[in-house]
Amino acid sequence: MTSRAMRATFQIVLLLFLLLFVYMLDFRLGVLRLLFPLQRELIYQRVTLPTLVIQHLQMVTISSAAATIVGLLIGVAVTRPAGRDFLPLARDLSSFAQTFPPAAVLALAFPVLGFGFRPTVAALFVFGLLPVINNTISGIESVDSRIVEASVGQGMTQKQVLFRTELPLSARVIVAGIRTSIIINIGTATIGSTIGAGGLGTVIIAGLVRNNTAFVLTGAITAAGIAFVVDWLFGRIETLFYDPRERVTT
Amino acid sequence: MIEFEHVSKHYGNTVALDDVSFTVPDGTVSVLIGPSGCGKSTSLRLVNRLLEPNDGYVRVDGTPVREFPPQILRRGIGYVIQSVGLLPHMTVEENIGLVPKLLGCDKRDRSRRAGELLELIGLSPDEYRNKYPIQLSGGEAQRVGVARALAANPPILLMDEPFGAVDPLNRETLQQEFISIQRKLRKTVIFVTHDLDEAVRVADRIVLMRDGNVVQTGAPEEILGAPANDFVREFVGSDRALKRLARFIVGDFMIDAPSVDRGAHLDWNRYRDFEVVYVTDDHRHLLGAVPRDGRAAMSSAEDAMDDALVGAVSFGSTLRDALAEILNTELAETPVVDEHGHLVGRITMAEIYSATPRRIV
Repeated sequence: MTSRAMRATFQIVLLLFLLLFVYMLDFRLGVLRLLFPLQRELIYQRVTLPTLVIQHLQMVTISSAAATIVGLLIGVAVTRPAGRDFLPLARDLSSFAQTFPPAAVLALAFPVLGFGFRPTVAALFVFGLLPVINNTISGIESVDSRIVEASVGQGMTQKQVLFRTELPLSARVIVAGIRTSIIINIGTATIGSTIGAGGLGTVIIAGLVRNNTAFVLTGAITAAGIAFVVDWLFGRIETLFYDPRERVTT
Repeated sequence: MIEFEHVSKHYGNTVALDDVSFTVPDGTVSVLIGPSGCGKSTSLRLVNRLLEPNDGYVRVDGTPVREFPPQILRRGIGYVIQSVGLLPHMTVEENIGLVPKLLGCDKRDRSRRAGELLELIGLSPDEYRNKYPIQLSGGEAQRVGVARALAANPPILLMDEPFGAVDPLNRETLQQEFISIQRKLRKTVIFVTHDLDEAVRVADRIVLMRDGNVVQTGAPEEILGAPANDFVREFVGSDRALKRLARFIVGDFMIDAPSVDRGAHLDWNRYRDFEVVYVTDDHRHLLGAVPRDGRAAMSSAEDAMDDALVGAVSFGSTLRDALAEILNTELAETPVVDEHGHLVGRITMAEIYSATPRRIV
């Protein structure tokens, strides 16, 4: 079997496992019982796992969508002639913000935005913004300046240069940034449940409080599985775009 | 017509162009040449407003270019740069159709036009249409770059070292193709290069620049024949007389060649004034040559001839090629043949010496 076929098989098995684990109670029970034969309480009863998954995905989708849009706009703005002065600032800020612990962002956000869903989404948004901005800047900057000049020289307007040359040529790098942003957010979103945002963090926190490793693992396995599937999906999306490593021969 | 009128351009304290004036007449190729930093590329970019002058005017057909919106101006001017200028995410057809698309041509017209242009530049449309730039050789990419510049049929072409990234052998082919395309299309061309041989080959006029100034303008044979000062003399090199020969076509200088049929007896009394007699077949195909001091009393010319002496130049080649051929043979002259190998004349050292600047390639 080729490595590609092996990967495809692994991905399908993983997806199947994830679906069964989340939606078939008996399957999940079986897996957890195998892992924790002595644990009496294996299934978190207060909220069903599919509900937690949906809450989790809602937080991630909203925050990542906003981060993607805003990050793209910022990245494009600071690479325009008019916004170029802000380029170093945008780079520094996004690098700096990435060093902030997520818990600190939450702690800073909830006095302003209250408990629960909204401050979590805000924190995830800030976190998801950075890879998108960074990759948008790097992607656009990496487009060969001679190709940009050729485009201008053929009579493209600034907007046409952006949409017909710069974005298509940097799309792969930008999508990679969005991919990183979403993967980070899927993991980080679990922390939102500490301020009552719901999501897969809920069952993890419950597990920690009650010293129930089965609960912790239920949340962790599910979040990791979702991250895997999304990562795989975006890996496929990236291949749709022009690969900047393919340089023109001269 | 493109005119530069007292044009100056500086970057901070660095002067790129200092009060430059010259004119590019309609339908001719002007080559801007000079050492790096002389301002040749800067001049070119002033024409399509990739740069703006600090002083003076650049005019196209009498109108200063600054009166046109840049995008509109550029869509009417073909722009060829080294092959990196092809958009790597677009096919050959999409690259060629770029400007027509900006001008609002529909897809069918663009596709048809791309086909025509691929034919013109000698690439099979069916084979090349859907290729990406990375799948092209350097020479092919360069041809596509020329095709793209011609796509919207602009009267003006700007070419910035268009063949600079191609190996010498391919470069010469591309230059020949460019010359023959230019003969058909008669565009007004500004061509930037640092390669003097290329300039001599493609130019109607050369604008020789140095440190932001025009040092000398004129036809290549003028510049090579009468350098204005020591700088020009040094720039064109001590072999300038040789380079100048490349401007003259053998067909314009050749004289009649004595010949006998291969079956006939060679009677030297009839060819008293000649050092060499050429031997041809019934269709005047050149077979060989008999030098005066060669094997004499043979039965026929064919037996007497030495076919090792049959190097020849085509009538379309240059006097430089003819001189090279003369030096290659043991004879003091070279026969001239047409495209079918028929003997049409000969060139001796006398013709080489007599070359005068009376024809532009």
